[in-house]
Amino acid sequence: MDNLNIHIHESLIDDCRKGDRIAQFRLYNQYSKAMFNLAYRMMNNREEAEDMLQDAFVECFRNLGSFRFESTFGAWLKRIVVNRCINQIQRKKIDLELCENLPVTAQEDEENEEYDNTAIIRGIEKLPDGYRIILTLYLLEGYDHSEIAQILKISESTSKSQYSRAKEKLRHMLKGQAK
Amino acid sequence: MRKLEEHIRQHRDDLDIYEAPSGTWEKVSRDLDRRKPLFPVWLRAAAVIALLAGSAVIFLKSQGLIMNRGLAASEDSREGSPAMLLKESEIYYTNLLNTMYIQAEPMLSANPDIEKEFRYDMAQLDSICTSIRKDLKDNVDNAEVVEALIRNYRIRITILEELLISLRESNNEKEKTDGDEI
Repeated sequence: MDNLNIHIHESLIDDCRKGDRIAQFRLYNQYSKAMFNLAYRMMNNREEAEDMLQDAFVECFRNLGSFRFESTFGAWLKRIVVNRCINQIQRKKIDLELCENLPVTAQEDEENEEYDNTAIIRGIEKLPDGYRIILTLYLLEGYDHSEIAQILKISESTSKSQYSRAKEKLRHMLKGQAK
Repeated sequence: MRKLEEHIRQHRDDLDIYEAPSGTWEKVSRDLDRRKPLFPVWLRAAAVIALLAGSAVIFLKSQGLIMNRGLAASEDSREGSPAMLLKESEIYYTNLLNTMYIQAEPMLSANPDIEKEFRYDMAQLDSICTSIRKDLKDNVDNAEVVEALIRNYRIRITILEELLISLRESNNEKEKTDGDEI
């Protein structure tokens, strides 16, 4: 099944490599929404997210020759978007607010909590940059902590602790909104 | 804390609520046209391989690792010898390159960016060619050196062929666009 997923776009990707603009448009259509939402969560700014989306797709089509089907096309493209966003964030010298010394607070029982998707989206948008990015990469995009550590050039334990705090902060925000 | 994680994972797709802005594809497409590479990746790879092969010959010769398989200068002109093969090849490739370059020149002048890139690639091949030629002075019958030179010519031909195709396509598209605008 994994193999099927990896190769599902093979002919489409081959056409894209040849510069077939219709094939490129089909691939763009298939992935642009997910990639825009990812870029938006990373940048927290619509205009910048659009720029990242545009640059990432141009880079993707330019470098499709180097894509060797070792991962899914989606994972490959996602990494381009993430790298673009991280580079832009670093260029802007945004402080990712990675607070190493904060103690991890006790996790509250949330047996009876109910969550609303719109509130979750708004909550994530309100998280500090570092928290939002790590939570996005881990929980929404499926990267593990070692990959996040590599992407953000932080230690794996920092990624884990920041994720834990991000999740807790989000839960508190959601709880506050629910009351 | 599991429940929030579980909820988000279960509803992952519902959390992508924003549509990609309209007009982004047009920008992507425009960028792709603007920054269309002059030579395809495989051709660049072939050029690099040729450069490396040329460099390897030079290096191996300088280290004395390639056996001197040459013959006396008096035998250089014998039919079928590497020296004769090189002489014939040089005449053939030089004529072909000149003809192709004459065709490409007016289109290159109209595309300064492409011309710059083309001249850079040619300069790299020239520099390798010069080094190989130095080896020829020592021994024109060395088959490896002759092969490297011929490979160098062939790469130039391929680059010029691709360049001509690319420039003609670009000109046709431009003429078509101009026609549509009128």
